[in-house]
Amino acid sequence: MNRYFIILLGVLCVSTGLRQDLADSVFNNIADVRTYNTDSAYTLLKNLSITTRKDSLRYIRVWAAILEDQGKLEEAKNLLLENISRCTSQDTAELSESTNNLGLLYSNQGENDSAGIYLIKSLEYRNQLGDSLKIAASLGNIGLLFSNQTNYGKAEEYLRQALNLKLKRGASTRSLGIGYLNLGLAIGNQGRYEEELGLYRLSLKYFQEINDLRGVSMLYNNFGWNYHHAIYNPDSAIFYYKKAIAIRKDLKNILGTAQSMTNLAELYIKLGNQTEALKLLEESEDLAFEADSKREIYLVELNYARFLESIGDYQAALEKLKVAEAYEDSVINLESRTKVLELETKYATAQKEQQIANQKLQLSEKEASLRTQQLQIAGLIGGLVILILFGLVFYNQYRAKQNQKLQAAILSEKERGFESIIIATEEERKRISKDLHDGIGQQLSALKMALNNMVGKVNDDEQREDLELISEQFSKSAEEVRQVSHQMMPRTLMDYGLIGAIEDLLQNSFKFSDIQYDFEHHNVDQRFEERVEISLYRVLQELINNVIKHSGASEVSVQLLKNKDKLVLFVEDNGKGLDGAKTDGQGFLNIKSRLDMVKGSVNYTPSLESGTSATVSIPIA
Amino acid sequence: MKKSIAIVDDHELVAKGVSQFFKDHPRFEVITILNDPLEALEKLPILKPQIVLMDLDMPKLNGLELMEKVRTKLPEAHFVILTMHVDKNTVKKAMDLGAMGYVSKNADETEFIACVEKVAKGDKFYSQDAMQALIHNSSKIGKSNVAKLSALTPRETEILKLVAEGLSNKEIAEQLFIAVRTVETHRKTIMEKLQVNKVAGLVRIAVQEGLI
Repeated sequence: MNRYFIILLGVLCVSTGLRQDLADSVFNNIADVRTYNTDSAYTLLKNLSITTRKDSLRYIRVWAAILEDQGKLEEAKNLLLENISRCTSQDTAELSESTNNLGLLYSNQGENDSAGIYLIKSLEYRNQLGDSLKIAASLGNIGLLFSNQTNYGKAEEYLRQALNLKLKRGASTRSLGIGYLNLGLAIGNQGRYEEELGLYRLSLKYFQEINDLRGVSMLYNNFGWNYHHAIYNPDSAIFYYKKAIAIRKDLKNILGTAQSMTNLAELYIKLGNQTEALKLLEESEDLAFEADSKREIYLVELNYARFLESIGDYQAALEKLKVAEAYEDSVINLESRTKVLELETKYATAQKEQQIANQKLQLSEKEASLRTQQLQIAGLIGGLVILILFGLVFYNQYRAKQNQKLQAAILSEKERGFESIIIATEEERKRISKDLHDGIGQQLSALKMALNNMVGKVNDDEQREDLELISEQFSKSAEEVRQVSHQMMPRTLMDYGLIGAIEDLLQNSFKFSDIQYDFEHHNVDQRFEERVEISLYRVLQELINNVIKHSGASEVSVQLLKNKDKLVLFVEDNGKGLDGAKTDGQGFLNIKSRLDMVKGSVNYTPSLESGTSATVSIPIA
Repeated sequence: MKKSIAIVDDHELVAKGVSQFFKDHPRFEVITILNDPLEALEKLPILKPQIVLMDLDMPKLNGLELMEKVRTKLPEAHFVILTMHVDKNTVKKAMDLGAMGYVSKNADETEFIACVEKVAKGDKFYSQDAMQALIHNSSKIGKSNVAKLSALTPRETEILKLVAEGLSNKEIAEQLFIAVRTVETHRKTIMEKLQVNKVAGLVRIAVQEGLI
């Protein structure tokens, strides 16, 4: 479907891209005008602007037709010959027209050999084109040629074929008129005059219907001839001849005028009207020579000779007869007859060959279409395979993507799970811390106080010492509970934020060690998200644990700063460094997972004093 | 005449234990034990004790808040905080609110009595650990007036700033399109020029110079 569309588009582009051919109707109209008035047709034609080759070919053909009407037969012939030589194999239509016109031209000049060649060529071209009406016209023209060669049987056969085809295909009125006229002529020449007249009347009706004066004049001429030669009625004959001459003169149809005049002259000779006959003969002789029509010259000269013979001028008659005979040879000779017949046979054979070729063509077309179909099916299958392949690739990609998404989801779910575990842990720590502090811690304190009271009341020194020892133990337990509670959840962090909590943490952590510490901060007075505070606090707790347990340091610097978008904690010691320590221990893992939760990071660099400098960054909103 | 003492603690056992210290005491007498801070808020102005021993961690109203509210109605009374919290912030806040004494519940009887006696005389008494918590201070890094960066090249200043922003050497190298080794060398030079031997020193100067 697509392919057709593109091709169609291409065709459109080509046709709009090129200069536009003139419509066929333009030339047809001029050709029509030609039948009424040759001069107007010529003017119209001269005013056309010709831009394409096709148009120039048509232009020349119509021009040749006009020249032919004007009696310039040689010029017309040359133009047509040139036109045909300019045509390529693609110009079948133009070839068919030009060869047809040239054939008719030769026929009118009585050069039947050439006429036959071109008319049959035209028929071949028209058969290729498949236009029934044109084929009919060609058949008719060939029929006429046979008529000219007095082979009227053959002529009738072709003309009838032509007429039937025209009737069947609904040919134009004019064309039907010509068909009947020509058939009538051929039949008349075989002596079937009544039949001939009937056909003429039908023809006349058609020509009159469309006011085709050329056709009408031909018919009048033929009526005249019939009343003159077949059904002898001189008055009717003179009437029709005169009518024909008048119209033909009007149409500037020299050849036709000469023909009708010669006919009338012949009648006048027969009737003994020498004055009229001579006048007509002289005029028609001039016209015949002007038109350079061998057939007409022959007829005029023949009649002229007869006329001169009738008036007793034998010398002049013989001269005219000689001229006539010279033209007679070229008009009707046996050689040309056989040639035309040969041509006809050739044509028939060619037509059969054409049929076979057509069949072959159809067969190969079928094969081609079969091949195309196979190709299409193969293409379709190929397309389908590609589609399936693409589908598979896409499906795989899709699945991989889904898988990735799933993995990401699982990962984030894990992270979330981890996060919620930490959060839950912190909550639990808070709770336990509070319970320890407010419950057991307070109770221990109360018990210790009660014990102290008892100590005061005991007089026995030994007992008092024991009780004092127990009270001391209570103090230690209470302190331990307090420490544990604080470790679990520093209340200061909740109540006072990072600085206070870190101060407490550092104080409590280093209280029992020899490590000196300092804590500096900048721009961190405000509170942050609880998880950020807790994470940072826990990380610091872990780092300090490491310092105390593993570093062997004597000094620790803690610095906490806030940049525009992150909290940065520096913890630096002057210990033995991380070289030997494992950074994948539980402590480091704790730090990492704590920081992951808040998208923070930590890096350890050796401090200049061979200790460790840990830098913790946590982004803040 | 004995000085009147009120004990406010939601833990009955502790309150009772404390009151035991003053049983048959020649100079002090416990006139009331209040376990509910809201009840205390109501009764203290009426009972007008001279000394109030007050727990900090109490439901509904904590000790510091209660003290703040009651103090105006009891201008003569001396408050002693009795608590298990000995952190700097709490101690400091209690001090700010005018508590005269601060004793850990873990203190022994001697320290306890000593505290109350001192406070009764109008002196302040903060137990040893409370004092310790107050002493140890952190420092805020402020702006310095001494320009220290003049010795540094612009590139070194830039690196100093990035160090103080918490970037690792690798991150600094990536950001400045230079080698990690180059960053390390720069850091060494910066430390030499600024005469510091710790990262902490670098950070401190960066903050002081307003790079952060």
